[in-house]
Amino acid sequence: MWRGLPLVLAATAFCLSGQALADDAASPSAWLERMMTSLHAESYVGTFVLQREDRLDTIRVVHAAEDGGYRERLETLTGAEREIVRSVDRLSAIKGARGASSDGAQSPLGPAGAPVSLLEEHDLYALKIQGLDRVAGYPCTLVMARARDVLRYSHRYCLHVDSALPLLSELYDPRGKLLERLAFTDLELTDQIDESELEPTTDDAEYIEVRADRGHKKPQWDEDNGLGGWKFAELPPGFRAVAATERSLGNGDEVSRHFVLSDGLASVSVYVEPADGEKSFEGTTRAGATHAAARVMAGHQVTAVGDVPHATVQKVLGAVYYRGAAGE
Amino acid sequence: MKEQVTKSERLSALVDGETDDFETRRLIDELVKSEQDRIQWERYHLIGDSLRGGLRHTAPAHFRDDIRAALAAEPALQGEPRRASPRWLKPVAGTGVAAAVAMVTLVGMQMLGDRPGHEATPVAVESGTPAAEGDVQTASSGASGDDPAQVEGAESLDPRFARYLENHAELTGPGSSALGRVRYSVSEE
Repeated sequence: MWRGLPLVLAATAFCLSGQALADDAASPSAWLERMMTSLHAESYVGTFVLQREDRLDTIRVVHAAEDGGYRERLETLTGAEREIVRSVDRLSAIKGARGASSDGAQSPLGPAGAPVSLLEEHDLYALKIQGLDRVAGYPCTLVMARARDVLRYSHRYCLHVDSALPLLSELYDPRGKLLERLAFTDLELTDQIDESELEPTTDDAEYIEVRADRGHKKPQWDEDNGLGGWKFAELPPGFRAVAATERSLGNGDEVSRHFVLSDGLASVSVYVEPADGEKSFEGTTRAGATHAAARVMAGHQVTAVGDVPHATVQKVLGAVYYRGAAGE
Repeated sequence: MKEQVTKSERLSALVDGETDDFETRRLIDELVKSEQDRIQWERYHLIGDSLRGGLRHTAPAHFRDDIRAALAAEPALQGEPRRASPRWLKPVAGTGVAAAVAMVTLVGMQMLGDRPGHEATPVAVESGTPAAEGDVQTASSGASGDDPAQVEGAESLDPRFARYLENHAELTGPGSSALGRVRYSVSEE
């Protein structure tokens, strides 16, 4: 008599939740959206390994989410000793996320490196749920974003079933070769990070602080003039500009322009700075899965950097042009 | 003894990229836990690198201990010892800033709104996982004819790009920008 009860309960629950809601919540894009939100919303302590070509590094991380920004301490456990202490405020943490309005301070979709919503505008990734797995002792959902062209890498994540925190993150090149794998080996999700856990433990700790100037102004970007006369012609398919900033580096007074382009998962930065005579350079380089290319044009050093194939960075760099100093 | 031989073979396979995903993850877990395994793993890399005609610039496993021993033999330094910064970061101002502090200040920022999207030109037919699939089709009008697989291994880091790579990783790291920085930092020393 009770044999059919679970089925009835399951059917009832299904009706209550609604088919559409269930489908939407379980979709790969919904998982990726949750992942981007979770990156800085969660506080955790853990150890992860970074596999990159023939190299394997182990890093301990303490990550404390705070008011939309975060503080964290990273410490290498293998190879050269290195400790990095970072503090990123809310405005800086959301940089790269597309705002729903023009006011970036008010409308982040999430503290993300790439606005996943852009994936709705193209089908250059084949998104797929690949089932459940287990990483660092936690159950996680495997989400594959397989690139459909050679201008971007394929991404695979295993997202914690509750928080959507990426416990495993992988990048594959267009031939299916693994470029990078980042995986937690142990992890403790927590609501409270002890202040002492964020304190540097060595004299040689490297400090990084990312702050949006309180009096920051909105750069004058418009379709005709771009930003300060700098615009993009035809970008690689799927990519579009999602953020434009004017920034100062270090303690210098020099202001450079920084554009972030994204296809929803991959990001490419474009830096435009006044050319500095002998220091100007042109060429290409790479570090693991990150490629960069530079050229000098209109008296400026223009450098594109992205976690995308060489050809994509070159195309982005080739798309940059100077329309004229209408805004300068 | 048999177990040791088996572990060595497995580590060797890992170094040669001949392990599948599951085995790779399991070996990584074991490497994290075992100093002996890491030393073995490092040794296999050195062997492989030397056979391929070049050695990496990675310090050997005992390098740190050797340095410490050498430093211990040195006479003590005179003068005021440098202290770790107390508590959290202080605002950076003026030029008297500790060299270790990297400050990135956004003086202007705008999230760009909607504008006409670019034409998407999918070029490859969906198949299985990247690791299982063959070459992705390259008949893309968007592709320049470059063979990405050849280009990937063609270059090494040009130090003139270093600060750009760091800044990019800092603010737009994929997967986790929290980890973006360390992706660069620990791998390109």
